[in-house]
Amino acid sequence: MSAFSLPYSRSAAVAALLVAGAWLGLSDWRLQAWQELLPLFEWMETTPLGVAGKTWGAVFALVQALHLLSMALLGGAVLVADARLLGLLLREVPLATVQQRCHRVFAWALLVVVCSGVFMACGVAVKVYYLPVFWYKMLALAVGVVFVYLVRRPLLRHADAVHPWTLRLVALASLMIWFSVAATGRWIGFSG
Amino acid sequence: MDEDRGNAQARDAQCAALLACAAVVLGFVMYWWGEIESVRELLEM
Repeated sequence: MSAFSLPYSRSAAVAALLVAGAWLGLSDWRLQAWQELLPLFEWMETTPLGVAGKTWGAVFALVQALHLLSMALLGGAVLVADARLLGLLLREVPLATVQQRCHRVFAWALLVVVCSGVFMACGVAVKVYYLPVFWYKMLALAVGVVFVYLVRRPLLRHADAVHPWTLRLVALASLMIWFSVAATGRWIGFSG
Repeated sequence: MDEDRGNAQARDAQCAALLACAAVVLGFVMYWWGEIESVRELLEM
């Protein structure tokens, strides 16, 4: 029994998330939540991860290199999978094969990106707390993860039954999301 | 019966995808348009 076995339950879940996101973006609650998060970010800098990140530049540089390499791997997996959906490459390979293999790379890369990202954020927690672009990156990353697991993968399970233009639109949206994640991530590096 | 359920799930997945894609495209355009506008203002100044 799937959590989404009722008629149009997945669409309803996506619509509910969109309404919640719009409410969060337009209400004052967002500012209150941001202010209440400051102690957490101050605490992050005092953790062993934060102290290591601030004290040993070499450790921070190594983790950042790992972060960027895994981001490149994630970006590569997204590019190949989406280019296949758009019909731009690997047309002779079955769609399911490309998507399955790319997703495996994507999932591992995402895990490394998140783990190394948490370490990097601990080292400069208060700095990133005050950077609007950091919060845009977190939003883009959250949207990306939800998009992959709630929208993209379930749709690809029925790839034969859906309109080809829907698949192309999903590929385009996916590229937009992960481009934003990468661009805002690099922006953090050039801020402050 | 199973085929009907499969078709219903495909329609649901497609509807969810169209909703999500519309929101993503709108959000992407609004965010980057705002950033480009702010750069344009800086250059003008």
